[in-house]
Amino acid sequence: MMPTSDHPLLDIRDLYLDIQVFEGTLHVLNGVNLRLARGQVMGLVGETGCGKTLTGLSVSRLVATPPGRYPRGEIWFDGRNVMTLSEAEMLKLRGRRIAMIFQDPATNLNPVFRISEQMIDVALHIAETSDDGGFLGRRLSARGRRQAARRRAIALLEHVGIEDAAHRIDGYPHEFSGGMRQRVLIAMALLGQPQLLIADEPTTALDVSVQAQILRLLYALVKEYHLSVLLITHNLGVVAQVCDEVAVMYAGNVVECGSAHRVFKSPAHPYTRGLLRSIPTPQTRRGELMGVPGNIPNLIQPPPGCRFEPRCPHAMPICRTAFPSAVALQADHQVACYLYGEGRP
Amino acid sequence: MSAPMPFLLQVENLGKYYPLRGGFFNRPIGVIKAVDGVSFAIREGSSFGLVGESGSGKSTIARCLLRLEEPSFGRIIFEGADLLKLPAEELRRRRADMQIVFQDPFASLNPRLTVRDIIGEPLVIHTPLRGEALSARVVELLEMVGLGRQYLYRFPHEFSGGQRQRIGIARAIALNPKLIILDEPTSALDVSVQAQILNLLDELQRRLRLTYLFISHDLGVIRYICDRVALIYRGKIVEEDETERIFTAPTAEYTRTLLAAMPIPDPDYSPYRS
Ligand SMILES: Nc1ncnc2c1ncn2[C@@H]1O[C@H](COP(=O)(O)OP(=O)(O)OP(=O)(O)O)[C@@H](O)[C@H]1O
Ligand SMILES: Nc1ncnc2c1ncn2[C@@H]1O[C@H](COP(=O)(O)OP(=O)(O)OP(=O)(O)O)[C@@H](O)[C@H]1O
Ligand code: SF4
Ligand SMILES: [Mg+2]
Ligand SMILES: [Mg+2]
Repeated sequence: MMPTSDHPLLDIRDLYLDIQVFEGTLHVLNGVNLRLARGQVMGLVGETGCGKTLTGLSVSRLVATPPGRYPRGEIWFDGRNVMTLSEAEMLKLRGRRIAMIFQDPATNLNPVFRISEQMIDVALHIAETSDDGGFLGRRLSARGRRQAARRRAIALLEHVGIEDAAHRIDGYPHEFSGGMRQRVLIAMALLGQPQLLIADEPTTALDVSVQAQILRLLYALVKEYHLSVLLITHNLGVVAQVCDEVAVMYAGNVVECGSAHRVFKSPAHPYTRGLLRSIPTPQTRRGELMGVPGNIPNLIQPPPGCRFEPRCPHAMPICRTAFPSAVALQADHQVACYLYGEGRP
Repeated sequence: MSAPMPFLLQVENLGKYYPLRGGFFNRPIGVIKAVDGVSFAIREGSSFGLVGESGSGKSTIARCLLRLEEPSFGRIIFEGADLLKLPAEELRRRRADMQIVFQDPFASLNPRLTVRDIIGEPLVIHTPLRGEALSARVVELLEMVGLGRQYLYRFPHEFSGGQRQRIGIARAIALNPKLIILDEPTSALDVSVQAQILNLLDELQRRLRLTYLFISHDLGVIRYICDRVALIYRGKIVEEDETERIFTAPTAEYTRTLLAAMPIPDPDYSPYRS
C-alpha cells in the first residue's frame, strides 16, 4: 500500500503465513501489507480469526515454525527485515525496541512470582545484554544492580499510575485488579524503552470506565515517548478514540487502511462498511441493524480471489480471479477491492 | 394508545448476601452484599436492561430469579405468584417459563453431547417428547434460530461463537418460555456477529411474544434493544428509567460516568485527542 511517510518504523510487505494443523494447511495470512509511521497509533481491527494476533506475533518473530511457515513476505522494522535476522539479533529487538502486550493473559504475568521479581528480571536481562550496559552502566555489584533495576521498575510503575508502587511492587499478580494489571504490563513494556508497542486486546477484559483510564494512559505515553503503537482490538469505538490510523483485516488480508478519520467517515471496502453498520448507534431503530450476513471462510480452502466474495453484496465475476491489489483513494486512504481504481470493470 | 401491558415479573427488595470468610480459622468475618435490596418490574413483551460494572451483582440477580441461588431476602413475583413461597411442584412447572442464555452457553456443557441432546435436554425433562418427535422439535428450533437440520448431530467444538449463541437461544426457547434472561449474550462476539444475534433476538421476541431481561455492560447494545434500563452499582440500583431518558438525561452520577466512558465509534468524539 502507499507510504504514509518516507521511512515508516514498521513496514510489512506481502506477508504470507501458513499453519499446519491436523486437518491440513491453514492459509492464515494472505499477503498482508501494513505501514506504521513513528509516533503513530494504528488500530488493527477485524473479526475473530482474521489474523490480527498472528500479524503482531510475526513482527516479533514469535510464531513457531513449524507448525508455521512463511512462504513469502518481508517485515521491515527501522530499516531491517526481521524475517532475515538471527535469533540472537531478534533478542536485541524483542522486549526492547519492540515490546508486546499479549492477548493471552498467561503469557504476560506469571502468577507465582511477585511483580518485583518479574520486572527486575526483565530489567536486568535487558541491561546485561545491552551493548553499553543499559541503565546499569558497567561497575555495579550484583546487589547494586538489583537495587538499580528495582528503582527503575518502581519509577515506571509510578509513572503508569500505580499508587504506593514501592510497596505494591512486591505483590503477586492476583492482588491487582484487571486495570492495575494492565498498568503493570504497560510499565513492563516500557522497561526496554521500545519504539514500537504491539498491544493485543489490552482493554478487552476491562469495564468501560477502567478501559477509559487505560486508554488515557496509553495515549499520554504515546505522546510522551513518541511511541508507535499497533493496537489490536475488535472494538471499533476504542480505535476511533485513540488511533491515528486504522487497518481493517479480513481473513488474512488488510482490505482497507488509512487515517482513522477517512476510514470511519468514508469507509470504502464493503466489509468495512458492514462492520461499521453492525454497531448500534443511537439512531439505529430496533430490527434495522445491518451487520454482515454470512460467516468467515474456511482458511484451509479459502475462496479464490477476494476472500470476502462469498459474503459481498457487490461481488462480480472478476472478484473470484485474484486478490485485488490495493489502490489509493486518497493519500491517506487505501482499499483492496475491485470496485475501485484500475481493477474496476 | 393501548393500555400498558401487565407486569410479568416484579422484583421487590431482593437481596443476596454471601458470608465473607477470613482470619485464622476461615470463619465468617462479615458479609458480601452482592445484591442489596433491588426492586424493578418488567412488563410483558418488553426488554429490560440491567447495566453495571463487573461485580455489581447482575449475574447474582439472574441466579436468584431462576432460583439457582436462594435469595437472602425479598420477593420475586412472576405472573402474580410469589416464587419464593410456591410449593416445589408448582415451582418446577413455572421454571420452564423462565430461561437463561449465558455468555457462552457451551462453556458449561458436556463437549460430548450433540446439538440434538443439548437443545433437547429441557424437552426431555419437561415434556413427553422422545425419539423422532423430539428430533422434529429440535429441527424446528434450529430453523427458528437460523440454523438447519444438518447441525442436528454436530458437537459443540464444531461451531463458531455466533453459532453457539444461536444454539443457546434455541435451547432457551425450547419450552416456549415467557421470560428469557440474557446474561451478556453477545460480549464474546464480534460486532458483525453480535448484530446477527441482536436481530435474531428481536425477531424472536416479536414472533414468540417474549419478555427479555438483558444483562450487559455495553451501553450501545442496551440502548438498541431495551425499553427500560436499570443501572446497578455495588448491589444497588442507582437509576432506573425509560431507555431514552437514561441516555439523554441521566440523573445519577454513576450513569453519567458510565456514559462518558463509553467509546463512541467516531474519531470526532475522542476525549483524548485535543
Ligand atoms: N497456533 C496455532 N495453530 C493453529 N492455528 C492457529 C494458531 N494460531 C492461530 N491459528 C488460526 O489462525 C487464524 C488467525 O488467528 P489469530 O489468532 O491471528 O486471529 P485474531 O484475528 O487475533 O482473532 P481474535 O480476534 O479471536 O483474537 C485463526 O483461524 C486461528 O484459528
Ligand atoms: N458464591 C459466591 N460467594 C461469594 N461471593 C460471591 C459469590 N458469587 C458472587 N459473589 C460476589 O458477588 C458480587 C457480584 O457478583 P456478580 O457475579 O453478580 O457480578 P456481575 O455484575 O455479574 O459481574 P460481571 O459483569 O463481572 O459478570 C461480586 O463481588 C462477587 O465476587
Ligand atoms: S473485491 Fe469484489 S467481492 Fe471483494 S469486496 Fe470488492 S466487490 Fe466485494
Ligand atoms: Mg487475537
Ligand atoms: Mg456476570
